[in-house]
Amino acid sequence: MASTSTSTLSRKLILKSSDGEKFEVDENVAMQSQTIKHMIEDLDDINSPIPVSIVTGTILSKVIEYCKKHATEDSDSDEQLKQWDKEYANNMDLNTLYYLLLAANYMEIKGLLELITQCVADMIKGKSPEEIRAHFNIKNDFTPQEEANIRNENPWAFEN
Amino acid sequence: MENLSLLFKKKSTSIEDLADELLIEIFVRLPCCETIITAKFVSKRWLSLLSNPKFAIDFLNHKKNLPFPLKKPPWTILSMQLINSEGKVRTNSPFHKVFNSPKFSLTFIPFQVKLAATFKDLILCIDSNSNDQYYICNPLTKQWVALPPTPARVSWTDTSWACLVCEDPFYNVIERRVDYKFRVIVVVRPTMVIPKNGAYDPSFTLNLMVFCSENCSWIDIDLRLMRPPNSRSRIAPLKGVVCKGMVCVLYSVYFGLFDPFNVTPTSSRVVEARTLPTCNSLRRGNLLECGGRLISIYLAKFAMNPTEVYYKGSSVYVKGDRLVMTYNELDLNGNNNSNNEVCWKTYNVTSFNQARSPRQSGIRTIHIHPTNNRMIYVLTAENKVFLSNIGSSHRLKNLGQIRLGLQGRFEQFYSSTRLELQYWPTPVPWINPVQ
Repeated sequence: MASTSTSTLSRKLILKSSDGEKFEVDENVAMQSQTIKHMIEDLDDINSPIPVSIVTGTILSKVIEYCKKHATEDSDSDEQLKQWDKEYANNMDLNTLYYLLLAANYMEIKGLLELITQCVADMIKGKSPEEIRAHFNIKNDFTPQEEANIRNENPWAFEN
Repeated sequence: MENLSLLFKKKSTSIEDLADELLIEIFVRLPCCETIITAKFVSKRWLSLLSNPKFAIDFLNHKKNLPFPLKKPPWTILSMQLINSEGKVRTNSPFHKVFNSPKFSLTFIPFQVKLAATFKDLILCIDSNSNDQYYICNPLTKQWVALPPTPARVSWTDTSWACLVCEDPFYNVIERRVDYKFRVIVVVRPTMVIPKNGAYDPSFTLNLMVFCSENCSWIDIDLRLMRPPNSRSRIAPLKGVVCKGMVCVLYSVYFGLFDPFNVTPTSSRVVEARTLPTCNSLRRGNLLECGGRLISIYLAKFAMNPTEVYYKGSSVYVKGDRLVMTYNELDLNGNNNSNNEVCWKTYNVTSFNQARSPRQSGIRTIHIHPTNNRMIYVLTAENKVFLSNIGSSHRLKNLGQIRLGLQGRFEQFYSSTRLELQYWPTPVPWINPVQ
C-alpha cells in the first residue's frame, strides 16, 4: 500500500542550481515555491531541468530540505514541525541565513521566509545597539550629535 | 535580479546587502516598540527604515495577523480623578511596573487637566480651568494635541461623561503620516425630558457634543434612548463604555448603543434598546468591555462574615469578605441580530476572601481584564485591588494598593477607566482647522 502511493502519484522534477548542480525532487516538494509553480505551468517538457538560475547548490539543497519536511503530510504534529523548524534555523550560520532569506524571497516560499525573518528578528531582540552592530557586523555611521537627536525624538518608555 | 545573482556569486554576504523590503520583513517581527527604538540607534539606514510612518502600520498589521498573539502589552486602571500637577508624583499600580515609574504622569501637558476618558493607550483630558478645552495625549510618547474649544461652555461635573473612539490607523500616502478618523463624545449634563401631557413615553433624549475629526468641528446631537417597559426611573450618574466601536450608554434606566461614526445632527437615530437586567442597580457596579463583550456587573454584597471555616489540603481558610455579584454579558462579536431583544446572559457569582484580611469598607468601582472576561477587579474605598477570577477559583485575591491619582495623594477611584498600552504607541491625531 505504502509503496504504490509514492511512486505513481507524484511526478519527479529536476531543479538545477546556478552552479549546475541538479536535484531530483517530488513535484509537491518543488511546488512549495510559488516561483517554480509558475515556471512549471509555462513549461512544455516536464523532464528537462528547471533552472533556479541564481541560487547556488549549497543553498538550494538546504531549501529543498525545508520543502521536503513541509511537503510530507505525515504524522508530525504542529508542535513537532515547529521544533524541527527551530533546529533547522539554529543550525545555520549567519551567512547561510542571509542566502536562505534571499533564496526564500526569490523562490517565494512563504513559510521559509517567515522562519528566517523571525530567526533574524530574534537575534536583534534583547540586544543593545552596540551588540546588534557587533553581531551583524554593521558600522556605526552616526555622529554623537546624531545619536543624541534620536534620543530626543523618542522620549519614550517610562523606565530608564 | 542582477544584484541578486551577484550576491549569490560572492562567498559571503551581510545583513547590509539585504533589500529594504527584506529588512522590513525582519523588523515587523520584533516584539515591541522598545526593541524598535533600540534598533534605530544601529545605523542611519535602520533609522530611516524604522522612522518611516508606513513602518508603524506594517508593524501593527503584522501583530494583528498573528495566529497566536504575543504577550499583550501592559495595561492598568486609572482613576478619573487623575490630575496633573507640578509636584513630585508617586504612583503605584499592581497591574504592571511600567506605571510605577515617575515618568508616568501627565505633567508634559502644560495645563491643569482632568482625565475624561481613555481609548487604548490614548487619554482624553479636559482643562480643569476653562472647561471647554479638550486635549488628546499619549502618556508613553508624551505627545499631546488640543482640540478646538467646545461651542458651549458648560461646566464639567461629576455626572459628566465623555468618550474617545478612534478607527484603525492607516498610512496616509499624500501626507506621508499615520492617520485615523476619531470622535470625541461628551455628555456634559444628562437631563431627562419629561413629556408635557404626562403620557407614558418610553424615550429619553440625551444631548451630546460630538467632535468629528474629518471636518474638525463640534456638533450637537440629540440622541434618543429607549426605556424598557415596566421600569421605574431613578437618578444615577451616566455610565458608558466603548465596545466593538459602538458607544454604549446607560443613564438611569435608559440604555442604548450607537455607532459614533454614524450620528448626524439631522437624523437623531434611535438607538437599539435592549433590556439590561440590572440597569437600576448599576450605582454599585459598572458598565465594562472585554474583547467585544459588553459586561455589566452589579454588586449585591461585600460583607465581613468570618464565621465559616473550611479546609482544603493542608490549608485552612476562613470565609471572610464575601462578594456577591450579578454578572451580565452581551456579546457584540459576530452578526448584529438586533431583532433579538434579550441577548444578555446573566450569572450570579460569589467570591470569598482569604482569612485575616482587614475589613474592606465598601466597593468603589469594578473593572475587568481587557481580554479575559472571567478576571474581575474590585477596588475598595482604601484603593485596594481585589481579583475575583470567576473562571477558576471563587477566592478573592488581594493584589495590593493602587495609587494612580497623579496629585501625589490618594485619589478615590469613584470612577475609573482602563489604559492599555499598544504594540506600537498610537500617535496623537492631526488636528487640521477647517479654513
